[in-house]
Formats: sequence, structure tokens, C-alpha cells
Amino acid sequence: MKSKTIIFSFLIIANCLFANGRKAVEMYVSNLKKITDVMVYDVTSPVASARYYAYSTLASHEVLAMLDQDQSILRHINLMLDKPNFIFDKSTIDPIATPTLAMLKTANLLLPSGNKLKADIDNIISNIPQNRKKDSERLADFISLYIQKWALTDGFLQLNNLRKYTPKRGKEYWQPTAPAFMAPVEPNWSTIRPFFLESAQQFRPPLPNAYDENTDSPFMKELKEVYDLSKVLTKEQIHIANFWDCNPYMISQIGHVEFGVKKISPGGHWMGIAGIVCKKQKVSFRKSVLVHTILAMTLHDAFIVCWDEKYNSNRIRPETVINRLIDKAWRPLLQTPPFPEYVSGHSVASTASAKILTQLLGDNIRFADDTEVEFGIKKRKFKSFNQAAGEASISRLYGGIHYRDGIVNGVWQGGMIGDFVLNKLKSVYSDR
Amino acid sequence: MIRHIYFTILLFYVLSFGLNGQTLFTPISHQLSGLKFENRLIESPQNNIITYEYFYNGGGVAAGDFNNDGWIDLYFTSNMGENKFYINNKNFTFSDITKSAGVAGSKGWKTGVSVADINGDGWLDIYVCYSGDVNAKARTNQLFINNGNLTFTEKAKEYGVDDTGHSTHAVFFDFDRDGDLDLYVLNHNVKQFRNFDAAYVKKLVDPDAGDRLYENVNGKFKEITQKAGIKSNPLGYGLGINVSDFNNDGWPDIYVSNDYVEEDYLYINNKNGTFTESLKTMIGHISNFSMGIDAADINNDGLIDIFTLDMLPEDNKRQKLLFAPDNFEVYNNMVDNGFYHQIMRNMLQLNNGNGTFSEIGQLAGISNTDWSWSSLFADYDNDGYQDLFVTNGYGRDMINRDFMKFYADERSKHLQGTTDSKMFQLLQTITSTPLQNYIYKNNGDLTFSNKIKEWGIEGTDFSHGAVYADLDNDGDLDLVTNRMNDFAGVFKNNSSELKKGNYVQFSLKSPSKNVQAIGAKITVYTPKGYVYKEYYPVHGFQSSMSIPLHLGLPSEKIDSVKIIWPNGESQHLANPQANVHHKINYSPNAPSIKLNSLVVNVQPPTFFKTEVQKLPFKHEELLVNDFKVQPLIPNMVSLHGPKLTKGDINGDGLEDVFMPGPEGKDGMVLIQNKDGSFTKSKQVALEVDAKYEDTYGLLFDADQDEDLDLWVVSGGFGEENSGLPLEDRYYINTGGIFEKKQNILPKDNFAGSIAVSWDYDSDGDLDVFVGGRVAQGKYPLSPGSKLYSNNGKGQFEDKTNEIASIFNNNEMLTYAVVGSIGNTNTLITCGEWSTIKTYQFVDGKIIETTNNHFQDTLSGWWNTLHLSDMDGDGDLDLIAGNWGLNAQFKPSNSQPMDLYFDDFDKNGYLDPLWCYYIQDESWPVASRDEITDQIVALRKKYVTYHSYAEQQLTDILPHLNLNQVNKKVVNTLETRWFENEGGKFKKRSLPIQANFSPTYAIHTDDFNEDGIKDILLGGNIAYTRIRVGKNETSFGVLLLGDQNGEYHYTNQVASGLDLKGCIRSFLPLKSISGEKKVLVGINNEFPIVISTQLQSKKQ
Repeated sequence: MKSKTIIFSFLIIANCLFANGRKAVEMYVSNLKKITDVMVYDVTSPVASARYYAYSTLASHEVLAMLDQDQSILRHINLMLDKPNFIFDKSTIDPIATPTLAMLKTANLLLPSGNKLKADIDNIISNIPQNRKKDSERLADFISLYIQKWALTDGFLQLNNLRKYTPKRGKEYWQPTAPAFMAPVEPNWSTIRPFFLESAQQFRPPLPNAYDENTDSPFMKELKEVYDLSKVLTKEQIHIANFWDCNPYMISQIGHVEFGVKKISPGGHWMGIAGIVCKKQKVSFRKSVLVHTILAMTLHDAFIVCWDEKYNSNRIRPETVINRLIDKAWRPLLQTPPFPEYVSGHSVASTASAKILTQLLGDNIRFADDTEVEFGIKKRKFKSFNQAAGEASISRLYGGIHYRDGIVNGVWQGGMIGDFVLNKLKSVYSDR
Repeated sequence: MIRHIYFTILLFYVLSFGLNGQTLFTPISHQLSGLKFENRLIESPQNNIITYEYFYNGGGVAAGDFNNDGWIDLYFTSNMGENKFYINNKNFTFSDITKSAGVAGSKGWKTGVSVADINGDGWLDIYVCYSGDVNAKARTNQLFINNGNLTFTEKAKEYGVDDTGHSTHAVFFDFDRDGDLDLYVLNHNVKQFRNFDAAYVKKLVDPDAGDRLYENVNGKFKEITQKAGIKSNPLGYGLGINVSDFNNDGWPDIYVSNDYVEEDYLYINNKNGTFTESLKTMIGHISNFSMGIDAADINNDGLIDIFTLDMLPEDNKRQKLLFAPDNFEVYNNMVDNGFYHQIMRNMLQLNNGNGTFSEIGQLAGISNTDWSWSSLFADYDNDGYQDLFVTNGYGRDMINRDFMKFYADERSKHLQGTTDSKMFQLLQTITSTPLQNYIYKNNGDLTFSNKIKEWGIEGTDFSHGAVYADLDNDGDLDLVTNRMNDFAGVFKNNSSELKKGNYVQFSLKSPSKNVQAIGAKITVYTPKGYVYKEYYPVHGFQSSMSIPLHLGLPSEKIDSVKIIWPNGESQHLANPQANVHHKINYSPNAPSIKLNSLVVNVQPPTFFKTEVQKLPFKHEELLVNDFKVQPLIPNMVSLHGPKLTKGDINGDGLEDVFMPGPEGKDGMVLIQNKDGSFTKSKQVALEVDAKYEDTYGLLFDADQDEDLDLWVVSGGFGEENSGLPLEDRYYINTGGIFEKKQNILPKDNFAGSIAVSWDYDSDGDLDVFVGGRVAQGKYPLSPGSKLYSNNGKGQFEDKTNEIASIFNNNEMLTYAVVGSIGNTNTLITCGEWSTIKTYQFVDGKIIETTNNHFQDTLSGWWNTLHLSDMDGDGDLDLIAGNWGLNAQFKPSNSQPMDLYFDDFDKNGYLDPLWCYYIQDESWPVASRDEITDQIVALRKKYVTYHSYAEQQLTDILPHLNLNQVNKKVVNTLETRWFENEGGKFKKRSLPIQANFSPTYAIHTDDFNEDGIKDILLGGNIAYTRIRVGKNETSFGVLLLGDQNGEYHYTNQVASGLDLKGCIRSFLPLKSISGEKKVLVGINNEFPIVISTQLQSKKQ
């Protein structure tokens, strides 16, 4: 009896998946973009947006895992909360809409402006066949509430009650930067619970070049590199820098008018790439969800180790030192983001992302990345994820906001995390 | 003619109506007055706030009698259109003669206007300033020379005043006192300059943005900016200028108010053709975005006070839409980079006459007037005190945080076209809010009352430049405003019709080229006090008034008038008639005033001498920031030392001193030498304990071996488990050296503030009470206080739970004293968010006896207590130091400040929510960002600033029962004294100067040796929430007692007190010479000694 049911439901699901696979992936990706839009609106920091992506996509993955009785990623996660029993009849669940619905509902619960997703949620529900509507929604609610409850035990609610950051005294340490001299972003993020890592200190990179104003010092050479390069940037390099800017909140001051110009975060950019390639390669819905989920969770862990190092070394930004020692009026091409320099978060996130996507989707996949078009930046074409990640990393040098060692060691850290996660989840992705 | 009659009838009708309404002012419409000027601004992609950041600053007004017919005419500048010139036809009607007079100005962006008789021919000339994002030629300032027949000829180039800078305004005055008028041109930068190397940029010179000074040499103006020491860097965003004799030495000084990060400038005249910029040595803190300015003697003490405008709104909603979270890094960067302490609100700098100013804008009640431009002090109700008119309004709500964070980005993404066009479209979406102008009556006691309604200036608009002038020659001052996109505002003053008050007007005529006698000083003496004014035509914003000097009078009789002419010669008028306009010709008849001693009615120092010599032992703070631990707390617990204590530590008969050591520094034992100097004695045990934050050192003979032992209270603030060591330490005295004794004190682990030896059980040994200050990481919870019983041999036992469980309370104590009150051995405590409480030992228990001694429940932010028999009746009276009244918050019984606290979001951390009343309703202090950071769940509730702007606590936490939630209350911040009447403390007030700043130190003595005790108060606070702002407005307050138990403030010149910094304790010391001295403990500074010996006796 049981096996019959399984075969029967498999047929239905398979049918749905094959018939609507492409549409399903498109719906999933476009709804994920809606979540991105809300995060952009809320001015969500790179670290927080990775967290929101992770919990939202995890909800979609968990629904699918329950429906397909697949191995859930949850089995490999730190401090998972016991999931209560939930009885459901598969035949009354919409296997395409429900994972997406659970993702949106989780984001709805977690994001400050999550209510902006209400229309998208209603839209999905309205398209579920009548006989599956109620149970699909019930399952999506169950998962999203369960994920929310667990998410809120990760230290996020306590973050702002931890001691606020005071810039350290000493020439080598980070100072607030122009134009808004904002307080540094999330100095206590290393207290947030990761998914896979043993600790936030697990992949500490080597120490950065020591601050040394001696012209021959490694530090000054790399500082000079940032400055000199800024004077001779090619059009292509400028495009690359802007393309990977991914600054969620750039302060624009025009005369008396001051306001924030918002963009997606580095994590948002890579979620976008995952969507583009899943669609282009006609990846199955099931696998697309898995790809997005593993990518988002990896990004979350990547930002935790990266942020731990940022506030471990508290390193000064090139802009501050160049103004101090070389050129008082110098401004970087990109606006310096408000947190310490070392290591480059984009390098960590991009390298880790490329590791995941290459393993799950394949190497040497060509794709055209139009993620930044909505922000007025032309698309770029890549031959592989690794090429894109390499470009994203070096773009921080072109942009004048990182030293080379911050990038090189960020790439190292990102690679370590990517490999670590892939190793841990081998059994989850290897059969799909 | 018929038209005129018709208007006159109408006017009469309107005026009568005004009289029935009993308002001081009546608006006069443009139809009646004929003043059809309006400053029309037309925004376009090429001309807007983005292309020129002072696009919404508006135009100016000038008043003067241009045809010498005895009636005041008016001139208005229009930013984009033609300037207008109106001749006064009497009866409040005016004719536009701009064209025939030839004074419309040229194209280009017109700003300020200055009127003076520049060439000394007896006819008023007009100087018009130009700015804007246009080429140099189009912003050449113009000088219209009066031909004497109501026509003018433009002669800027000929006179050498064709300045092409970005000018805001200009002032004609005789800075070198050579008898002709020189010129200061106030400029501003049109480029933004917000991120830069400050030290570098401050040294640059930008002639278009920086100010310029011109010297009049035989009728030609010669630029001497650099030579004269006038700053001219690109950070100059000059919006206001006032020339007055701020230091009262007979020479004109200059105050320039600068927008943005550049601090204001206060140029003191060196009397040799140069100035010295002296702001930072004379003024403690200033407005951040300083705009208009005025200066006048607001308290009739013969000294010119300064008032600068900023943009802090009065109401809660606009404050909430405006406030970003306090950013300590930005503030510290500003100060560290050579700028200054700047806070966004209006600042009233009260002149102390000794080179210092006390900023009391909040105490005076005039600190919040929103985005304001003109401030005009004048006696509008003719009662002898100068009232205040403020214009208000800004074209668009540019700094609305929703716009900055949400709308701008969202909207700009949907816009099409070029960048310019997109930005212009975006601009159109920013809301535009007309605002109410403000008018305040000077109450004569350093406070002002809002009279918008009663005085009839209600109505919202965008008003910029403004003047007062007696337009109808009826003896009171009417008001005229230049309004954006609206007809000029005209308000007729009805004082004469209402038969209110008295006045006198003077027109001075000098034989020099400075015909108008600009810079003259007039003091009018009446039986009810004197009134003082200096004659400078430029006041307010971009405006000027070459009109008779008008002084309202406190009496209908004038005893005499003293005129000091600009050259220092003095002229006395005996018994001139009041309520008359006097025309006075130069005819000095009194001894000429020595230029260096023009101080009016101020005695030379009679009392104290602040010795220059500091003790070379710095109290050195680790500058912690408690707001980083708990971001929403109202006050810091740290940085409140040193409380100095004294005693003969080495047994040589001289009093020595203990100075508690801040965290990381050892407490110091300062041994007094025979010559009155001090030597720090080597104390190894104290050095070893440097890690402790000492809050108090109690010197007492605990073991009854005839020397003083030391009990040091540990305190400080950090997270719950920050590792800050908190146990108190006990040191036994061995020949002047303290040795730490373990196991003498019971183990304690709480942050204390104070220890007093209190033989509570009267058994002859000294028991100790230690006051608890704060629970670590859990402000406003207190660890409670402790009572330690002495076994007579210097061994202590914690008796709190056994006999004094009443001390297991939630009082955040700051101070305690012991004394016999009503013949009972009483402990008196005070604290923050707490009342003054008394305790006694009765029937084996400590009980609270507050109700026996106090009638009123006075809960405050009490800092200190002092017991002394003030009235000589043999019992101890009490003086209690509170926060003072110079603050945004003004709690009372009916409108208290509340601090609600609980872990509202159950995340394991205490959430302190501080609320106070603004405009009769209680509002949370936290900004939207601050409260959503503290209680993360609120992020979903308050997704915009607007959604939070009008939320009260019950809206924010709707399930909260305000009656049940933990709460602390403050209903008074007033420092006062309490008269002991048979054991009952009766509350008494002190002069308002006692409440300029928080009081932390109190000393009493009969300083003037008249047999009645006097009071010396010290205080100030430097480390506060940024919006609360530092308050260093007290320089030591001397209050002399009289026989009726009243106290009288002695001004700083007479008292000789000039104590700078955060005074934390006064320690009277006996020296061998017998001279009375007080050692002053100052936070993060060297202690200083002041002699409190009556100086006149000494000499």
C-alpha cells in the first residue's frame, strides 16, 4: 500500500515537474527576486541579507524534502530545532507552488518590510488548484513558522544589545569613512549561529600586512597599488568595479540633498547568478531549489567568518590612509562601505559561491549576467562561475576599497568555506 | 486721493478690530499697505536646490528713511526677480518707486541688503549682495548711492566694493574707529565640502567662499581680509553676522554664524586694525547648522548676549522625522578635527562679562524654533526688556529621513531623462511645509514666553529676512518679513493704541563720516533700572535697519541717558522726556570713557580668586562610553569623579586629600605641605589596585587607633559580566601609608557610588553605609545599598539583610550624608530617578523616615547633598544638587519624565524606554532607528520614520499596562535648598543661575563676612547623549544669603569665579596661613585651588 502511494505520487510529481519544470523554476526565481527587492528597500546589510536568503530558501528546500522524502539539509545543520510532526496527504499538496510559498512566507515573517510580499503570496495561492489550496498553504505555514522559530534562536535578536563598536585608537585601525561616517555594520555578527561551521573563527586568514608607513613596506606597496591604479583605470576596469559594487546603501550628496542609493548585496548578486544559470541550463525545479538553498546557506556562513575577521583585525580602509599620507582629496571609485577592510567580503562570498555553483551545476558554463541592469549597469558575460568570482574579487581593487592582500586572503577564505560545505553536504547533492 | 481715504478708513477698521482682539500685532494685508513684494522662486531643472544649495534661503529687508522725511521706507531683495523699493506715505501705505529710483538690481541671485550712509552725505545708501551658481560677473555686489532726490546711482566699482564672492550679507561699521565706515562681506561656499582633511582645508583660502574685510581709506574700500586676521577658508558657510562690542572694551567685535561643520567665528577686535578669532576660548558649545543671529542685552546687565538660530523643531513629530541615531564617532571626529562642540538647536549665549558666555537657550525657552532665519531682539511691548521675533520655514523637507532612506531611491528608479531632469523630478516629490514664525516675550528673568497667539502673529509661511521699525511713528516697533512665494508679511504693533508700556527713541548725528554714529552705545537709566543698546543697523538675517534706536522702558520716567559715541566720547542727557523721539547731535559733555574700562555697572572682583596654579595631579579618565553598553539610557554612569575627601592622613596636623582613581589609574593620596602645596605620597597598595574604578574614598578611624583608615568604593559600568572588579577595598593606615587588609570587609560585588561613616546604633564606633549605583548592564536597576556594622576593632559585618533590608531597594544612589535632623541620627540619600530619602535606626532596625521630614515628593536626577545650618537657627538645612533647568526636558508633577523598563521583547536584555513631555504629551525619546534596534520586533511595525513619528509608549507596546510596568519617574530637575523647620525640610528656591547646569559640588560659608551663610555651587557635564548635549554653562555660582533666607546671584565678574570644566567636588581646606581655600575636583582634569577669602579684606 505504502509503495503504491509513493509510486503514484511520484508520477504526479514527476509529471508536474517535467511538464512545468521550466515554469516552476521561473516562478521560484522571480519570487526570490521579490524577496531581494524588499531587502533592497529595507537597506539590508550584506550579512543580514545572506541570513534572510538562507532561511527563506531553506523553507522551500524543506517542503520539497518532505514531499519527496529526500535527505534534508537540516540533518547536517548545527543546533537544529526538533521539527514537530506534521501529517499531510501529498495528493492535496501542490508540489510546485508550495516550496515557493513557504519561501515567501518565511521572508514575510523575517524581513522588516516582509508585508510587502503579501501580494506575491496571494498571487501564488490564487493559482493553486482549489483542491490543493488549503493543505498547500497549511504546509507552507507550518514550515515557515518552524523555520522562523528556529531562526530567531540564532542570536539575531540579541545583536543590538551587545556592546556597540568604538573605533580603536591607533593608526592601523579602521575609522568611519566619508561621506556619512556611518557606524560600522554589525560588529557583533560573529555571535550569530552558522549553519555548518564549528565556529566563526574556523577559517581565520593569515594576518594582513602590518600597517607601516615606510615606503618599502608591503603595506605601503599595496596601498600605493590602490592609489596608482585609481589613476589609470581602463573603461573595462571601471565597468567591472561598478558591476560588482553591490553596495546596499550608497550615500548620495548633491548640494543640500542627501539620500541613499540602494543596490543588491554581494549575496543578492550571486543568488541572481544562480537563478540565471538554473533557467539557462534548464535545471530541474528540485535541483534549482537545492542549488539556491545550499548557495544561500554557504553565503551566510561565509559572511560570519568574514565578519569575524573584519572585527578581529579592524583594519583601516585604503581611503583613510591615502587621505592621510598621499592625497588629501582622493576618493575611491566606489564609496567605501562602512566596516573594516580585511578581508574582502565580496571575495569571500564570490569564491565560496563559485565553488558551490561549479560543483552543483558544472564548470565552464557560459552565462550572461544581467543582475545589475536594473541599476543602470551593462551586463557582463562569463565563461564560468570561477571567472566571475575572480573578477568580482579583483573588482574591489579597481574600486579602491580593498588592498590586494584583503582580496587574496578573502579568496582563500571563501574557497575553504565552499569546500567545507560541499564536503559536509556530499550525501545531499550527490544523488541529484 | 479717494483711494487713500478709502484705505485709511479700512485701516482704521482693521486696527480697531485688532484692538478688540487685544493682540499686540495686527497683520496688514498687501492691499492695504501697497507692499506687493513677494520673493517668487521658480524651480527648474537649471535652477533648484541641487544646482544651488542655498536656493531656499530667501531674501532680505532693509528699513530706513531714504528721503529724510521722518518716515521709514522699505527695500526688499528678491532672489530671482526685481528688488523692490517702497516709499512710506504714512498711515501704513507705501508706494513702489523701484523703477524711478533705479534700485531694482541686476539679474543674478540676490541675497542680503545693508543700508547705511556710506559716504557720510546725510543720505542712506543701499548695498545689495549677490550669490548663486552663476559666474563672477553676475554675482557682483551692488552699491546704490543715494542722490538725495529718491534716485540712486550704482557705484560699487567706484567705491571698491564690487565683491564677486558668494555673498550672504554685508555690514558697514567703523572697525578701526577712524571715523568712517568699513565693510565686512559675509560669504558662503556653493560647493559641498563635507569629507576632507580638516586641518588642510581650514588653511586654504577661497576668496569666493571665505569672508572679506574692507577698510575705508578716504572713501575708497581696500581689501584687508588676511592682514586683519579674518578667516577665509572654503568651509565658510556664513549665514549670519552681527557686530557688537561683545567684550565691552569699546571696540566693535564680530560674530559670524556658519552653517554645517565649520564652527562659528567670534572675532575680538585687537584695536590695531586686526582681529583675533576667539570663539573656543569664550564659548562652550554652539549651534551646529548656525543660521541667523542676533545680539542684544537680554537681561539688562549692560552686556551684549548672543543668539544663534538652528533648525531643531519644537514638536515631537518633526523631531522624529528628522533625527538620526546619535553618532558618537561623527561628533568626536568633528571635535578631534579642530571643529567644535556643535549641537542642533538655537543657542543663547549669556555674556558673563569676564570673557565667558553661558549658553542657556533651553532654560530661556527659545531653543527650538525649527528651520529659522531671522532672530530679532527688540522691545515689542515696550516694557524695558527685549523680546524676540524669529522667522521660519524652508522650501522643501530635504532632511526628512523617509525621503533620504526610502522615497528618494524608490522614486528615482522610476524617473526618466537626464540626470538633471531626474533630480529635478525627484525634488518635486519632496514635501513642502510652511511653518509658524515665533514671537517670545522676555519675562525679565532670563526666560521667554511664547506669545504667537496672544500677540497675533499666527499663520504659517516661509519667512526669511525681517526687520522691525516704527513704520507709523507711534512709538512702537512694527514687523516686516520677506516671504517666499507670498506677499511680504507686515504686522502693525498696537502697543501705543493699547497704551502699553513706555519707550524712547534716539537719532544720533555725528560730525564724522560715520554720520549715523554706528557703534554708539546708549544706556537709559530709569527709576526701575536701566536699558542698554548698541547702535548697529544689521540684525537678523540678510536685513538691516537704519532707523532710530528704539528702547522700551520699564518706567515712564527717565532719570538720565548716557551716550558713548563711537570715538569713546561720552554725552549725558539729564531727565530727557520718555515716549519721545530725540534727535541728538554730537556734543560730549562728560569725561571721555577710557577705552579699556567700559564695563557698565560691574564691580571689580570682590570675592574669590581662581589661582592659576593647578595641582600637578591629573584626574585621568579612561574615556568609556556607557551608551555603547546600553544605547537607550539617558545618562552615563561613568565619568563622574572625582569626589575628593580629606583628613590628616600622615598625622602632621595638616589636612591631606584622597582623590579617587578612575579605572586604570591609582587613587592618589595628596599630602599637604606647610606652604599649602601638595605632594603625592607613594602608596604601593593603591597602585596595585589601579584596575578599579574608584568612586569614593572614605577616610575614617575604623579601628580607633587615632589615625585615618581608608575605605574605597568601587564602581563603574559595563555589561553584566564585563569583568570590571567591583568589590570595595579597605586600607589600614600605618604611619601615613595605606596597607590593604583582606577579609576586613565582607565580600561585595556591586557598583557603589558613596560611603559614609554612620554610627547608626550610636555605640561609639564608625559603621559604614555604602550606596549602590547601578546594576551592571541593567540600568536603571540598582544593586541596592549596604550597611556594614563595625565591631569596634575595624572589622565589618554586612548587616543589610538582618537589620536594614530596606536598603535592598532599587535606588540608583549618587550621594549620602549623615546628620542630626530633628534630634535624630539620620542618614539622607539621593540618587538618579529618585527622591531624597531619610533613614533612622529604630528598635533594632533601619527604617525609612522620609515622610517625617519631607512634604513633597521630589524625584530628580540628584547628584549631591550638603548639610549646613544656613539660617543660623541651630539646625541643619539641606542643599541638593539636581540636573538643572537648562534642558529640552522640563519635568513637573503633572508632566513627569518616565523611564519604563523591562525586557519587553524577552531577548534577555533590559529595555529602558525614556519618555518626556513635548507640547503637553509624553513621547519616547528614542528615534525610530534606536527603538527598532533595541526591540527588533518593532522593525516590522515601524518600517518608515513617519509610521513611528507620532507613536506614544502605549502605541509602541499596546499590550503594556503602563500602571503595572516597572517605571521610574522624575518630576523636578531643580537644584534647591530645604529649610529645616523643626525637623521638617521645607523646599526653597535658589536663583535661576543655580539651575544653568547640573550641580555636583556644594560648599557653604560666610564668604562676604556679613554673618549670613552663602552658597557656592559647581557642576557641568561634558559626556552626554549627543542630542542632550554637553552643558558647561556654570563657571562656579556664588549665591549670597540675606536675612530673609533669600539668595542672590553674584555675577562672575564680581565673584571672580571662572571655573572651567566638570566640577565634581569642593573640598574646603584649612591651611597654616589661615586663608580660606577650596580645592576643586574636576573630571579628567587637574584639581585647582581657589581662595575664597574676601578679596577686599585681603587687600
